[in-house]
Amino acid sequence: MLLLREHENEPAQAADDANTNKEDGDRYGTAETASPSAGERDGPVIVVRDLVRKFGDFTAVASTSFDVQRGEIFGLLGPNGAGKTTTFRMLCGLLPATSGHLEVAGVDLRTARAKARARIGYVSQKFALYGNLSVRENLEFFAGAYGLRGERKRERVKAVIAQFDLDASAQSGILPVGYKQRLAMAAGLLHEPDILFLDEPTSGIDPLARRAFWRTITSLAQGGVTIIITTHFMEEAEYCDRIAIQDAGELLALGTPAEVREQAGDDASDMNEAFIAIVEQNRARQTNEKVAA
Amino acid sequence: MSSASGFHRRLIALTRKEVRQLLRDKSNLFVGLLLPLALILLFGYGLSFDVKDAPVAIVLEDRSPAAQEAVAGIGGSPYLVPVAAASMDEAVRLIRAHKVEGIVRVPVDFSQRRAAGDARIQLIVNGADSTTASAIEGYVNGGIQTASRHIMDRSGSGSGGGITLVQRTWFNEAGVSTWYLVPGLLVLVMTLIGAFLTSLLIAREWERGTLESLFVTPVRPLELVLSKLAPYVVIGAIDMGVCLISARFLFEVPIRGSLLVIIVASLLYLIVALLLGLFISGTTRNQFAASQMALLASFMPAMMLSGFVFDLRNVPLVIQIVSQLLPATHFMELVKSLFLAGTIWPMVLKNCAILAAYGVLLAFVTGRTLRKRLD
Amino acid sequence: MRVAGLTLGADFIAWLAQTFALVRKEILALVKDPANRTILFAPALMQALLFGYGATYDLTHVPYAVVDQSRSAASTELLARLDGTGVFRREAALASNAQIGDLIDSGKVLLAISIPSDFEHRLTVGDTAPIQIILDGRNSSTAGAAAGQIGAIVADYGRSLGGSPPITVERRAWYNPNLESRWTLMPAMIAALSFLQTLLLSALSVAREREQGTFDQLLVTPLGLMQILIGKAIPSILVGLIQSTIILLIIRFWFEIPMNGSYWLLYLGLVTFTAAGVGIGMSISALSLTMQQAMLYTFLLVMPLMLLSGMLTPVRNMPQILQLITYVNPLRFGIDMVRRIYLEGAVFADVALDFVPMLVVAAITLPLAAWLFRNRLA
Repeated sequence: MLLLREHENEPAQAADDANTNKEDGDRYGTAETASPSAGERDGPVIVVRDLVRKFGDFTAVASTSFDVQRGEIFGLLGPNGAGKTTTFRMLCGLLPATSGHLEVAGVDLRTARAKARARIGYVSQKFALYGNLSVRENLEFFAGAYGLRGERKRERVKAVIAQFDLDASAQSGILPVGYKQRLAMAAGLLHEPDILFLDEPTSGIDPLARRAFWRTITSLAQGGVTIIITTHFMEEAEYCDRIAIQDAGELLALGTPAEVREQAGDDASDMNEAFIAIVEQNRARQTNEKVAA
Repeated sequence: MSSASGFHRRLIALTRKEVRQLLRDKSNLFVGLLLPLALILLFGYGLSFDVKDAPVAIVLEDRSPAAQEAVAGIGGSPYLVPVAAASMDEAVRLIRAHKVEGIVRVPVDFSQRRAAGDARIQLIVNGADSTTASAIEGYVNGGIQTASRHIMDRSGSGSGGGITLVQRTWFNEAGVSTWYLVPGLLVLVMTLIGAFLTSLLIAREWERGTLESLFVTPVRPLELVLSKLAPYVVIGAIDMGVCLISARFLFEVPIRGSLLVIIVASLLYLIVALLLGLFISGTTRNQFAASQMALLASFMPAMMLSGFVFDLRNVPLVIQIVSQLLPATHFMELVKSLFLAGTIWPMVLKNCAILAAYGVLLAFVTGRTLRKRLD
Repeated sequence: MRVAGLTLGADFIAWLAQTFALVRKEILALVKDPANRTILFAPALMQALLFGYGATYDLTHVPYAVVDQSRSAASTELLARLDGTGVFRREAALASNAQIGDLIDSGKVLLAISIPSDFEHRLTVGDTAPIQIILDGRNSSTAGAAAGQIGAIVADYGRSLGGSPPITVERRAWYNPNLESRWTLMPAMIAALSFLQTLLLSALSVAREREQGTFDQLLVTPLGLMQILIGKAIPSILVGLIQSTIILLIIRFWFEIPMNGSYWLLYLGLVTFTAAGVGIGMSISALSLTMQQAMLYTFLLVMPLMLLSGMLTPVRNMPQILQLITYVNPLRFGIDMVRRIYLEGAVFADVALDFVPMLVVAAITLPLAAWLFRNRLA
């Protein structure tokens, strides 16, 4: 009975955690990023409250709450099948939530998805542009789809081609992986979104390219773009302003990398160990609960 | 000896994997088992050249008893439904609206001319549907000739005489089109399973590169190919059974030839079709292209050019050559004869030899394509 | 008010421009693949030619054997009339009826005519003179047609001998004076041949993006479902119309079948018909998770739709229950519409009813597909 009650209390607790963490995050953000945009902060860009997603009986995401501030780099971490992809897909409007409140760029994704989508960019894990079209054709299509026209469209296509050092006439499908990733970034940034969603963008690219990638990300964030990123490289988590660790659909930790390491305990010297410690603590607790029940 | 048993073991293991994979996606089973069944029922019941209840407008501009007697035969025909029309204008409206398929018009001067021995009745048919139009022409002619003979008999003017035609149709006495369409279904279904389904599914593996990854394992290409084809042979054999049973018991088509020969020939054709499918998938290596190729090179010709519906005697030489190049044509001829005529050995041997030759040829070129693809 | 109208107009133009970007991308992706380029148009061309010649119910070549035991002037005259048609070709002259079996079994002849020895004698004395014909019924349509033609020739000959029957039937066939089956079949091809391709193309359109992972990328853009639907439907409809046009040109100028109706009306009908086909294809596409599923489901659907369309055999010959099912088949009405406009010169009032089922199918399947795009879970 006691255990059951404890279980029932959990969502509320998680929400409390999220709130405290949010305040922490705010403090952290103001202190750390002395970006020009920091001063004009006008509330969170992403608000997630009690977000739940179920697939039949299976709960992929249990009541999750957090906020993301403008210009922040927010990392979603978790082992495979932890629910981070599901959370991510709900944030981009690809998957409707079962319940809960979700606000992206000031609009509720469940009611005004098209409007919200115009303000987000998305780079998927797998190369998801049109392989038999050229780099330019891909960019022109996405520019058009994002409503860019005429001079502005030409300008932006030209700008991202220069920014990411692309060959406009190359066929996209046969490009090397790192190049494809740059093209995907270019396509995601064409319309200068407020928020950029990146789903494991660095898997499969070499360390050099990865460093260049993070340089781009940090400069974007300094320019006021909010970044939501999933990754399984723990050292990359250190580049994030704040991270959230999920396992089995639950939000286990939320805060700056330093805070998360702290939560993991003393023996976690780096992010990798902290991550393993947090996930294992949680799994051990759940096993105990099951055994007790 | 030990290598042979290893071959068998690996083959069985691989086949089991293939069957499991095939069963996992229900759409495969839909096409493999449900579509043949649907085709059998649709072809058997839906496709029929036997005109029935064709509405024909009757315009009696001459309302004399003689005129009515002349067209009375039309009402008696089980194939025609007479629709009385008050005037030619109305009848034309009916035919334009497709309410009737033809117009029988008895002109004003009919009785007058009949007395002179030169009576005429006009028949107008809608040629937009030429088969129905020809059939209606035949039935209307028949009905009016009957009336005509009655008149002659009564008057005694014709004094009998003339030539009568005693007609006997072998193999299909009643001339039911179902009898010649249903055996052809066997050909269509085998083509569908063999060429279309196989090429589609195996092209997908090429496209995704899963076939290459298997080729680097110790599995020999021959084992791989055999295990890939095995599930389709099973599905094809089940479909063959369904075809034969429904032909015999549902549509009551006689099976006059040897059942064993039908089964052997069908399996032979199934193998040819499977090899054709494998060949197509190996050459295109792309699902969309493979499905189109399979459709164009096997299924559509099997339906349109193999003598299934359209008699090859009527087509120009070029088309005859094209159709003779299709394995389906030879199997079609064989199946129709085996069902309706009996086991005519010279024909059985000739067509089976052609099919076997195709099998050898396709096995050879397919083997070469696959090997070349691997290098 | 004017300002509101202006922004509304500007919004609409922006909406159109977005949609056009998708249409352009779809067409580019379609024609950039060399395999696609040939597949899109070569099959229509090839099939139209092949079927134009191959799909015929008209007798052109009937090999026959004769057992002429009469060997008289009358029997020679009758056979000469038969040979004079150019259709019947005497392959063998046999001594006895016993030899007929082998020739028919092997398919060397379609029929055998047996004229008894007293044929001429009976004719001269005014008796009824019977002639026997034996037909190969393995293709009952051909057998029936051949018997019909022989009957007509024999009757004609009988009439020439005097004693003509009191009533003759004068037949006129509207829209197809010689009752050539090609005239019936080929216009149907304008609708039927493009149907399969447009269905397949639209069925693959979303399934391909799903399989290749690009669909999510499309869904996160501000493109609305309607825009995605239109963007995907337009290229498929265009391909369908181009295929229909290729077939139309072949029919009109190669096979020289006269077109009696209005091209405007024909194309209005074809657009409606193709839209219904694309709607079905897109619904399949939205339901399929992979290209393979899309293709299999398309095929599963296309075969029955073709069989129940009246293309090969008239709908009226079908059992009642199947006739009822054909009411949801856009191909049935597409074929009927094309035949009526092309051959019969039908005007809109004549074919208005054909439009209704096609419009209903399009009106249901297109929005259904749009709804399924997002609600079918990836």
